[in-house]
Amino acid sequence: MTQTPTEPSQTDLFQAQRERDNQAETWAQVVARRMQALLMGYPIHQMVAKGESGYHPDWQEQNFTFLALQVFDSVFARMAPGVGSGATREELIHDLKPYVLARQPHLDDDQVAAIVDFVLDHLMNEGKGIFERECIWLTDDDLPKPYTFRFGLLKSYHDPETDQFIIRATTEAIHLYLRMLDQPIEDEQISNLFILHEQVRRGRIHRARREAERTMLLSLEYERYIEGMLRAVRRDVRTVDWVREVTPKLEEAHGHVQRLIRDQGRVLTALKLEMQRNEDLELVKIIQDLIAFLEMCQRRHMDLERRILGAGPSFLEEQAYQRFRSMARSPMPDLNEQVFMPALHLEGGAFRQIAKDIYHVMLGPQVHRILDLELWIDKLLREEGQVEPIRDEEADEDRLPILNLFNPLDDELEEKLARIAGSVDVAPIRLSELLDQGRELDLDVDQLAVLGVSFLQSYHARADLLGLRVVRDGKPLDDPDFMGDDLLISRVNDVEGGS
Amino acid sequence: MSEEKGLNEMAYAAGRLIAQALKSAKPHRDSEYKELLDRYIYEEPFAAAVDNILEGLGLKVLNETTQALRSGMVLGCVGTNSPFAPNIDSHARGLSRDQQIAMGIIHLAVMSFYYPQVDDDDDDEFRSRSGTPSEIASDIREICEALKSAHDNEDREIDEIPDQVRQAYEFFLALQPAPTRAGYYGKTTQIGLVHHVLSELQKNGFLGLDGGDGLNTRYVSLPKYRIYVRRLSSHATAQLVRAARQRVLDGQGVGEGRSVQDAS
Repeated sequence: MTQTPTEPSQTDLFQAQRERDNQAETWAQVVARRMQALLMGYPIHQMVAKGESGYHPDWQEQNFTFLALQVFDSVFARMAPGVGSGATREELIHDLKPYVLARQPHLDDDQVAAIVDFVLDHLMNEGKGIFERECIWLTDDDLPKPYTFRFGLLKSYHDPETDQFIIRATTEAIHLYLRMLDQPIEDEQISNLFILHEQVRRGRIHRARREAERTMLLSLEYERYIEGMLRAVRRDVRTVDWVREVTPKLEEAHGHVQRLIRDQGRVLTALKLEMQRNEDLELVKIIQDLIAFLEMCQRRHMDLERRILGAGPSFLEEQAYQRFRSMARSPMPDLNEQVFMPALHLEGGAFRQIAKDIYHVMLGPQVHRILDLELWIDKLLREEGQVEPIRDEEADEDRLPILNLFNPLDDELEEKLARIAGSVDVAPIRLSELLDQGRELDLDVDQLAVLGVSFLQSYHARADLLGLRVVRDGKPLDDPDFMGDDLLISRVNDVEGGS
Repeated sequence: MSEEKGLNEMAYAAGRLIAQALKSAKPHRDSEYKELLDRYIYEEPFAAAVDNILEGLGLKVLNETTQALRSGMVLGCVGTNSPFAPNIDSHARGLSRDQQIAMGIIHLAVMSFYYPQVDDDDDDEFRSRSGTPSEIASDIREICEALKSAHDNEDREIDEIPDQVRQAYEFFLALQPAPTRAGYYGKTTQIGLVHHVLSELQKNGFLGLDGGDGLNTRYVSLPKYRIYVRRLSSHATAQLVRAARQRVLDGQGVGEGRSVQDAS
């Protein structure tokens, strides 16, 4: 189904499905979706109205509604056996010919073909049967916004292998056929299999048959959905965020297909048991049909699973092949093109609100104020190296001590480290001397390691930032707990005199 | 249905009241706030709802009387893990440890400047007082000198002076008293540091402005500040500072640069 002006059908379905997952459809989307549902049968009605109201004087006897139904039956039947197949025009003419001739036996082959073309054109919404439906409704800002619906129930594809045009039913047609206009396919499939299983278990074979046909159509529908999604991705392979957007969808689809295969296996087992147990020959025959039917579904699903699994590598390859730049993991806007330049076009003050909004979105709620003066003074006056602020215990018992939540080192250790580090200011010092000083201040082995690391990090790049120079002059470290080089540490400015 | 509607309405009103209190809004300027405060005073379920929400946020109401409540709800943090607890990172960024301690002592000294007597604090009637950064800075200088002499003379009348108080007054006295050039009052001079503390108090709704600019800005105390002064009256360091100030007053009569105005 086409919404103004360029969105092709499969993208739209993909989108609708995603929106539904997030529970965040806008009002306009809901209206569009419901309008789609309402208009779903429109191509048929259009065709019937035209055909039966004297569009062609010779065709007045024809029942076009019935012909449309026959077209769908034929197309669905021919789509069933394998993936990627459908009916050709010739096949459809062959299938429909008896029905056309039944009403008007005197028509010749050309006239039959003309009738079938008329039906197909309308159902495909192409050629002579083209139509569009325009609806106008108000957006959130009370502005009239036209939406144009243009969709077909059939679509023809070129098959490169046979060099023929094959006709397949669109998602809308399957929706229409199943009268499940607004229901997730996945749920429908699962519940349908459950019903099928129950019916087989209870021996209601005739009803089970009907359900099995439905299962078939549903699997067709699901296949179309996945195909559509992959096609939408392929078309726009550069802008799609594979990691975030598509991969979870594929994983979900994979899980679903796996579950379907498993559930179908269970139904098949039940059917085979039933076949052995049942003595009614007629029923056994139906059960055999059912088994064949379900096995075909299962094959389709396995095939689909294979394609889903293969989708990831093949698309990534395509991306690499087309030498698209590597995708950013988070969609960052082009700051110059998309933010700065448009901002320049805004009139004075107009950007203010936008900037404010951006700022608020990015930073979230902030607490700027000093609300509790008492806590603040306590915090300012906290004793050096002491976590708890001084205060009168009895005055306010329910107060909790101020904890330094974000600093991995406690204040006491930090202060000791700072005192040791301060000795570097006096003269260049060796690592072993630093460790000895640490031991004098009762640091344990872990804390000594922290001391060592905080100096070692200045060994390379950060040395200038910290104002330290660390030199390895080959003297080994003689220490009971640590091993390595006995580094010489000095301040950058006294390094000339020091080493 | 109507019960749910009532609940929603009450939750909204409670949220509005808390928002106004967090903003340190003035009830006499905002009729909605005034009505909400009345509702808090007279309507028990509403008061319970507000208290519960505050508890959930890690806050509590500090006003002890309804009369105090009428001049605005004053909130305090229940614990340091409240999201509203002040922290050094956001409010004293870039200040050295000495400056932080000095600011803490200045806070206590400003309190004793505005409310010299503990008795004053217990008076139910609120009195607004005012002072300028230079007045308060000279007052603090005298307090620091008193503390220093008490420490040097091992005076027994004043309790043992904690290390960080000593650190604070030494740091404060070592600072240059007044700005070196016009218009510059950074945090490296005595008046500059006092000005910083006062403007911080003003920005957070503890003090109000009463004319003047720069170093002559006159700051008046607001009811919210008074409540915190009262809460801090039992604070050990606050008592020490108050005692030192009393000694200055006793020894020298009324301080030179000090002017306390009463206005009810």
